[in-house]
Amino acid sequence: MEEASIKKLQVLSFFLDQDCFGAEISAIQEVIEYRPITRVPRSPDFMLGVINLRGQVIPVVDLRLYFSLNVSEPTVNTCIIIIDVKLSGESFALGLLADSVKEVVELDTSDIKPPPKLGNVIDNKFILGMVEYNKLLIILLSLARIFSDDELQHIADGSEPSETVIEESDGT
Amino acid sequence: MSKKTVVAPKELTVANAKQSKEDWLAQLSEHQHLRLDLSEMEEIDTCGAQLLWFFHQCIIAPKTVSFFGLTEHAKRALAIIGMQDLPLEK
Amino acid sequence: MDLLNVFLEEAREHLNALEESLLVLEQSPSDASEINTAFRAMHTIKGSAGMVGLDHVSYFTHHVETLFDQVRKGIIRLDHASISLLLDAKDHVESLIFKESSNEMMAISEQLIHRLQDIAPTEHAVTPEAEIPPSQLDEGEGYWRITIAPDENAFVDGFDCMPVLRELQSLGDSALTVGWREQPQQESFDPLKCNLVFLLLLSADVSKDSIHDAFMFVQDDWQIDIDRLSFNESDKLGDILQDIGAIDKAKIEAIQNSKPKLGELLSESGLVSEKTVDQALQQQAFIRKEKEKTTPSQPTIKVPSNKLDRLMDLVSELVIVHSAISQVSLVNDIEALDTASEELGRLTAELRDTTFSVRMLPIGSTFGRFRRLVRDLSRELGKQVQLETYGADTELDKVVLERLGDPLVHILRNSLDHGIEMADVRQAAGKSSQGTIKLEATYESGSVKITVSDDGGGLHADKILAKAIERGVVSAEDNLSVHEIQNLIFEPGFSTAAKVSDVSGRGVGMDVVKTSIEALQGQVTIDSVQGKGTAIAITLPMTLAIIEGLLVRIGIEYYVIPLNTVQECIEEQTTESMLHQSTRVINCRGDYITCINLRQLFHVKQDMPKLQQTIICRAQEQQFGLSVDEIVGQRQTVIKNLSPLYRHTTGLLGATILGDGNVALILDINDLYDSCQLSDSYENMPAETPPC
Repeated sequence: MEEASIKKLQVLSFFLDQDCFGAEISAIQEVIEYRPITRVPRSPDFMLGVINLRGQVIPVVDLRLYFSLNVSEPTVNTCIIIIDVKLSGESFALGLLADSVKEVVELDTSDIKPPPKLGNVIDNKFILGMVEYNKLLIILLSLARIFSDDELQHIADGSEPSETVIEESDGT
Repeated sequence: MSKKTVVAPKELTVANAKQSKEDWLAQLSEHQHLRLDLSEMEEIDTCGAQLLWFFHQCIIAPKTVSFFGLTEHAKRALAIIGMQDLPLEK
Repeated sequence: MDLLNVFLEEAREHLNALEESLLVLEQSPSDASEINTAFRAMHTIKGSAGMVGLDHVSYFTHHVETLFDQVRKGIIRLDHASISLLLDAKDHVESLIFKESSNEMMAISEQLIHRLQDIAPTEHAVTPEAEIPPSQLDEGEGYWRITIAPDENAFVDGFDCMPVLRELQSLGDSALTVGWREQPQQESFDPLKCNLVFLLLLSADVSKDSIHDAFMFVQDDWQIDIDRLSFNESDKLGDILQDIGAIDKAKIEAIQNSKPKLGELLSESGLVSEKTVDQALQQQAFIRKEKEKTTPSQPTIKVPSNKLDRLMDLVSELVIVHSAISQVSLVNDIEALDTASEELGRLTAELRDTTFSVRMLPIGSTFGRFRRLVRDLSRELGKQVQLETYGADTELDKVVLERLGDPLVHILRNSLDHGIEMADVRQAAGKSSQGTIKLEATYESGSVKITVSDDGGGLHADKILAKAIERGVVSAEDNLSVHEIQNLIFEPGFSTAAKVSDVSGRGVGMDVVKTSIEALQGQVTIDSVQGKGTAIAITLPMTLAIIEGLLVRIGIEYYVIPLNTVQECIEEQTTESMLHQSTRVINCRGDYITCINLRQLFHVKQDMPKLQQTIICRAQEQQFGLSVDEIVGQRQTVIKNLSPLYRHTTGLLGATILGDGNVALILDINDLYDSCQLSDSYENMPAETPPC
């Protein structure tokens, strides 16, 4: 267990289906309103398509589909979170569809608890930790890991998100 | 005032400069004003240009000469030897 | 930019010019203008090298220049051996300038100098200029006053002033005044005698020699004076008038003491005609204008590439914004906005064209490299080959041109290595012993077409087929047409050379060429007749970033088809097979054409309308069709790259932003064509015959 430092973390909280997630704002460029997405045919279904952001063509990904969560129709609260990612040394922008965006919260790193080994909503390796904030459980996402070179390579190659093999400690 | 319009030949060069000079001066002896129509003139060399310049600058009053119909191509050729200011009828 | 960098850039240009001239001279040894170009290149490098302190370069090129001077004077005639030596010398100068010096290089310099001197013995008088140390050479900023008084018999002797004057004026900014040597009399004027004198004021960064060279073909009896202008003296009107011989010094001095403007006085006094004064004033204005400039004007400006790129990006953005405005105006029907929008559209298009033309370079700028390649390689292989080039003026986007280099080199190497036969083989086949490779560039409906053709042995279909079967690319049972067999060379990993020769390069095959060309959104095709020759044609779009596109709709989705691939459009009734199959065959005017139902291929969800529009496109000299719901219209399309996330999605070239702000996807015609070739349904479908 590392020594808890008095570091602060600024996190944007948002909802995918019923669950609240958080992502560190350093990678987040901006949040925009939902707008019609142009479908790109013959691509994986969690890659919704592309949008026009001030003249740039930006892809939009549906993490709900990516993580096999429940998907519902866009509502007035639906947003697209624009983040910066890197693939093979090339930087580009990517949009994440969110059912709603809450707020930017400042957290003490000491409040972050590691995720339980099993029973998680999404794969462990994408989770930085869990935090309780105002009675809400926020699952902190590691954008860096979700959109790491390896994962992005997977996406670009058209495969499903890789699964971590969880070792059963209570052996059979 | 009696005017005469003459069409300058398709080529105005050392080959026909002498003939053209004689023709045009002949016209001037019978008329007051000579109008030279340059619209058919496609080829011009320095000798031909000199002739035009002569008719522009050296004709003694009261006889006068004017030019019109200069093509873009001919204009460029004249510009190369410094005769771009050959006055054309308005 | 410091002096050394400027020198390096210009040196490269001069060296390229020199090489090109040498290659031309090999075929036409007495071509005076090429000899001149070569001489000037060496002369300029010699001088400028001296100015930046590269004394050894200056020293070496001096000897090359000496040889050229002798060629110029007709003392030496160029032949293959001397051209080879000169090319070696040129290569050496290049090494001296761009590589670090070493003892080895010095030794090479001395060797080459000896060989040069063998051909051009310096016992012939070396002109004094050649001995002047570099720093005193007549180089650098130049303002010149050139007076030309042709001999009166110039016309009848067949000399015309226009070529000379044109050449001089092309050297830089100039002002030309023409006058009479002797004012002609109306009656006594002899039109066949040249009575003109010219005064040319020239602002150009050239040496006196360069100016002298313009008069090379002119008779010696023309009176020519070339003087460097020194501005402190010459903008005085009086001096100018003196120069044109309109007045002499004494008279000027007599008048100069009064206050009013000299010009007025002179013409009033009748000493000088008004016309002459006007001309002199013009010259004065010219000189004053030149004086104000701190640097002499250049005919061209060097611009850093990234600034051009930025400019192009801005222009592209402007095109998109204009579409948006156009859309607003369309929807809201505001007349004033409509007019302004149209005007904006016009200006934007012109701005786009002009900006893009700045990035265009003539393909001829790369031809030099190829000429050298053909020459060296043909010698190495012991074959006699000549390269003919056409369409050097054809312009291409700079980036496209750069990326075209390697594929063309590879194609040429193939032609030399495998295409053109040895001289005896050719003769036995009834051909001339010298083979010809033609490199031709032309414009063809919005694209540039570059063809490399040779009169060699052509592709050997059986060899290719055998190799393909061996490699498992095709099976022995496949019934392939000759054309299809020839296209097999584009398959990856294909090489019919028994061993990969050094000449054609290792592991680089025609498949790499094809991929490179397709990455430029171009196409490459091959046409060969065994025994006669081979022609490879590359078609490229003229610019990468903005194309003319055909906007189409399938369901609620919009796509753009590059217009330069579109041949025609046919309307058809929707049939059952269209609903279920992604490809089908139609019979159009007797031709069987495969069509892709994009709706099925792209899994479009909406219902299919009763009518389908099928657009016949051309890819790799083959036709195929694309069926859509509606053809919306022609649009200027700015190509935006699709995110790297989509790099494995085929069939799409990129995306574009429409006037209403929505994104439309641009179809990759090559990809789509390839995909429909692989489709099984090709063989099984009965051909439908739509009204064509």
